[in-house]
Amino acid sequence: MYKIQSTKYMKEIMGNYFLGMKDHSKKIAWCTSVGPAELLRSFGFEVHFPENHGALLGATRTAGDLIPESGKAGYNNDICSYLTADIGSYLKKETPLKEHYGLEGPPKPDLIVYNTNQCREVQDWFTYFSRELQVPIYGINPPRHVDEVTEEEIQDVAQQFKNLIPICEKVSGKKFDIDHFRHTLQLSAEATDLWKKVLHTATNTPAPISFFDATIHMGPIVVLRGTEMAKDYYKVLLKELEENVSKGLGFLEHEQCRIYWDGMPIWGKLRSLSDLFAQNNAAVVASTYCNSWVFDAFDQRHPFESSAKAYTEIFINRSEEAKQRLLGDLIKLFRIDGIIFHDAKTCANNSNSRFGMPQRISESLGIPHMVIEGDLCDLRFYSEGQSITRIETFIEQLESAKV
Amino acid sequence: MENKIYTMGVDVGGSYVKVVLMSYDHNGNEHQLVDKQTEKIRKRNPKDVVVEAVDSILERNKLDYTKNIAYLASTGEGEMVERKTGHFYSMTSHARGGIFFAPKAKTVVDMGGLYVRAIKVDNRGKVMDYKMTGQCASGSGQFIENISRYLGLAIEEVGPMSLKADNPEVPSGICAVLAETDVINLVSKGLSTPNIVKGINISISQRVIKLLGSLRTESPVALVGGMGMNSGMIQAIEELATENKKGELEFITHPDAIYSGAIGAALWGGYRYYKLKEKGAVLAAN
Repeated sequence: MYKIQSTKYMKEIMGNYFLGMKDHSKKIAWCTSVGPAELLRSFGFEVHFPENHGALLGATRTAGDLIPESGKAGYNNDICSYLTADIGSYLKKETPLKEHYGLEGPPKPDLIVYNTNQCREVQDWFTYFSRELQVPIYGINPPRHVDEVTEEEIQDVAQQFKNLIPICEKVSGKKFDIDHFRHTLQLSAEATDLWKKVLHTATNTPAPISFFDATIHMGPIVVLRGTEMAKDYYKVLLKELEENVSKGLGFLEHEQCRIYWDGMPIWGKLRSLSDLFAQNNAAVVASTYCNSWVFDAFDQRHPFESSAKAYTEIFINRSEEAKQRLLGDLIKLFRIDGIIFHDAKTCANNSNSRFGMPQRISESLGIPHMVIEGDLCDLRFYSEGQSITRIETFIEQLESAKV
Repeated sequence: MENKIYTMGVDVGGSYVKVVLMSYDHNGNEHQLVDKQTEKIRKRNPKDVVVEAVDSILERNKLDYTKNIAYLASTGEGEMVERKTGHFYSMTSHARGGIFFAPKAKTVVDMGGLYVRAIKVDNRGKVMDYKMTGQCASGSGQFIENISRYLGLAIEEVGPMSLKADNPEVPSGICAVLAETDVINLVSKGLSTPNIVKGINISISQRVIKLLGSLRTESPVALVGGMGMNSGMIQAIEELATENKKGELEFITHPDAIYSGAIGAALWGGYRYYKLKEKGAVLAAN
């Protein structure tokens, strides 16, 4: 059976990352997953990403017990289920971090930083913890839903990044060192480039890594950007995947059709969905989600401007037209036969099926689409029986189109 | 009897197991439905229900599985059918079954226990395009079963009861839970059972009509699956189609509509049997 051997190494790295949070001598910053992690790291902060914790609550299916807790505190259960699960975890004092890493909960922050490049929910979420834990908070508010990012917009966001410096200096007790920032950004640039190459190995048939595998292997690019560890990990993973490609090994022996997944993963159903597609010889080879941690713009020669550009031009922050272009490029690159849009009921920002995109993609590229209703963490919004029937029907359509 | 070729189709759905026996003439050019059986799964193991239904059809027709059945085709939950020769996808089977009932149909609407699916087909029953209802169960046969149980009706009574309605009230079409609450409210308000049942049929029909619109449906339309036997539903669909200026659509129904998946599977099984026979291949049941 096909297995990615590097997984063991990744688990070790991720374990060390979480165990590092026990080191109380280091200052801790909380940051959104596509926030200015490099700048924070350059001040020596250990960085915790609440979204990563949210995904963990989803994947371990503990979110279901925690979400109602935040509801009691006035956070409606139809808003971001990362937010409701994470706040619920805090209120109920329950987290899988305890069982896995012996942590009582996410590390207590010294500084909280968010970037609304993905949604406004992060602002409300992080502000809750700032109030609750009496911790300083800083928000970056870039222009939203941009087509192409303009020079003025880059300057605006770069200035917001710079305004964070005195706050970081005060909290960390360290002076800003631009060379250290450049070095951190360079490490991120190299890691993200390797991550891109990892994902692109799936342009081959048979593909050596599926979307479901990639959601697991993306851990280091999300939480360890700007460190040597992330870079080292993706070198190892890339080497293994490239070797598998040269040997003709893939996660499916026979790819009957190739599928693109748009939107959030359904964290609590990764395994069962992966098995369902595999049983039907359908290879889910690419996704918007995993590609969202590819930052082509990082350039240590212009650290503020390039990271401002990279974090503003992310897929979720683009216009419908730009999104359609980006999807089209990936669909062609990965030779996709059909696209699945996950309509996550608590994440409108990361659900691209609500404004006619599936229809436009099908019409412009001539590939079928389907919309699957579900959620990132709250499985009450997901019907297994219904979804299996729909997915099997979709695969049936893709396969019969090839006969 | 001995000269005939027989195939069987087994459709394992969410609520029922449907089994049919088809016979072919010597060249496979003509076929007919010989026997059929529906079994409610209830709390039993679907595998046992399948064995029971297949055996009782074989016994009734004095046939032996090994000697007489050229192909046993499964569809739906195929892993529940242990004696199958081969498995066919559910949409492919229902489309073919729809063409069996209505050879000129250009659209087949499969109205099952869990969802409604509108399928565009060519004249051989090949799937050209499809649309499905969203995941909420208020668009499904299972919902009607739940409501009929609440109202104390047998499922067979739902259609005729609905036809007696004179002033139906339509519950929420968005959510099964809300719809159920609405129904409880309607009962306590003293609304007559026919008007409640018709209202539910209208609510589901609204979804069907929306589906047909988004698929740019062509006529005639074969209505198949378990809900295709609900005369009240058929009436509601026809009325709504007229109201929505889709009056040009001709709907075709059949009393055996619930067997469309099983019939389609049996026919695809027969097709595969004759294809392989041409090539001189020998089939073995798995």
